[in-house]
Amino acid sequence: MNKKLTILDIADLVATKSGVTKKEAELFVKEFFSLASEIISSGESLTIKGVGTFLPVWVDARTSVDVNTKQPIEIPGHYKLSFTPDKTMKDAVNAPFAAFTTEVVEVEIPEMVEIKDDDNEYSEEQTDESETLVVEDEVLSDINIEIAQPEIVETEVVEESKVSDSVSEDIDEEITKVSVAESQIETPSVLPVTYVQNEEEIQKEYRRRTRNGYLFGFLTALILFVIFISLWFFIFKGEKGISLSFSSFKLSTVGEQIEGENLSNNVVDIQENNIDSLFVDPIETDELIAEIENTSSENKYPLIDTIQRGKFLTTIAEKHYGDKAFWVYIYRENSGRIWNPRDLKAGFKVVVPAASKYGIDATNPESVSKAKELEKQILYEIE
Amino acid sequence: MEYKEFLTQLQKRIKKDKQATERLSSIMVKVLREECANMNTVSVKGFGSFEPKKKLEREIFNPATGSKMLVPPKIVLTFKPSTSVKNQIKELKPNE
Repeated sequence: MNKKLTILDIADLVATKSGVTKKEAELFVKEFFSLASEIISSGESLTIKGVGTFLPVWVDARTSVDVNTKQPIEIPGHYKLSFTPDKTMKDAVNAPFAAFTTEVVEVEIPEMVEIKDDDNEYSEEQTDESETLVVEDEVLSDINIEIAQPEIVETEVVEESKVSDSVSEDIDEEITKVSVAESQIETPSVLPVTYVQNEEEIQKEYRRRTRNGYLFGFLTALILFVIFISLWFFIFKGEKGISLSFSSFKLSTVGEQIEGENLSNNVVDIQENNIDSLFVDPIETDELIAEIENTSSENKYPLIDTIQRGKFLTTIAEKHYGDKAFWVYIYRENSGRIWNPRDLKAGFKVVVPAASKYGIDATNPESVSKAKELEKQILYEIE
Repeated sequence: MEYKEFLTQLQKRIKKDKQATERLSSIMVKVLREECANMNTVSVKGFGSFEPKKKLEREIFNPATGSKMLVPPKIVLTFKPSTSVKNQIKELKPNE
């Protein structure tokens, strides 16, 4: 082990194995290698069976730096010798580790979210959700004063919730009419939990990044609003009404997303997974989604899209607007939350604004060039 | 150059018949392999040295599939040409 052998040791071993005299063996080994080095030195490749292939390869000229003088120097192109061991040789040398093979390491997927166990805190979760929604709009509108029309965004959100409320009423009535078993009512109520969890994640990220106190006053107003809503629910529906309406709110947003995004495969996959894993009757949910689609067809934008592996702002822009140059507007819309558009984590949710808001038109070359100029400006700002 | 041609040239040099040359060559290659498998370095003056080297395990990343792979540790045989061979090869003119 780890000894250094010379040509003489090899000759000795050859002599004992073959039965020829040591002198003969030595001569043979010497001749063998001197012939080999002559052939290699002449620039020819040489294959020795059981050992490997010696091949001169050309190395292109490259610039380097002189270690002593720190002056850039050019290393001229030259040949160097490459050696590739024979398969039998390779295996013989690697015998101790032959049992190992290359294995795939499992990568943690950041999108996976644990499902909360407690289903009772609906009023609390509702607060969280509406908080994040309005906070989002507030931040966005603050930043985009020159371009954005914050009131429109807010009213749209209100409309959305109204629609969902009415939908929830419809569904509620339907279900009470049919008098579905309690278990069936409870199963969809698990759905919003994951959604809320995602919203909470976004909210956490906000707080971590912004940490500004000016949101605080806004939150108190929100809580009042939520108390009002929950009171309203209690009066008209009782506890079951709340859980149901909440679930249908989630479903309505799901319906919007599906319609708005032209059935993007990824989103549908994720949703299907969610639904499957939660043991919801697929036929029933399909019916609900279809119903909600009919009622909420008007509120197409702004919608929320999720960043995934291999899916960036540019790909989202191309999907929604038809040209990837328009990613700048999505960036603008979310500029309070995105620090570096090149470095977005998978699972990060972005608000996709309506195309009319920024005059986005993929067929109009002026609009595209405007977006490209804005892109230059934004990239300059980042760097 | 292929191994067969190499053997015929070697045969002319040591002035032995074809069979004896082949036998001795295969024995020598076998000896070389055994020694390398035992983690011994074989250095031949005027030619170069064969040295088995341990490579540590490492993680690689496939950007196409996004999967991480663990490459196991292994021993590879390296060959370092002697300075004379190296210099002669270095001074070869690029003919193509």
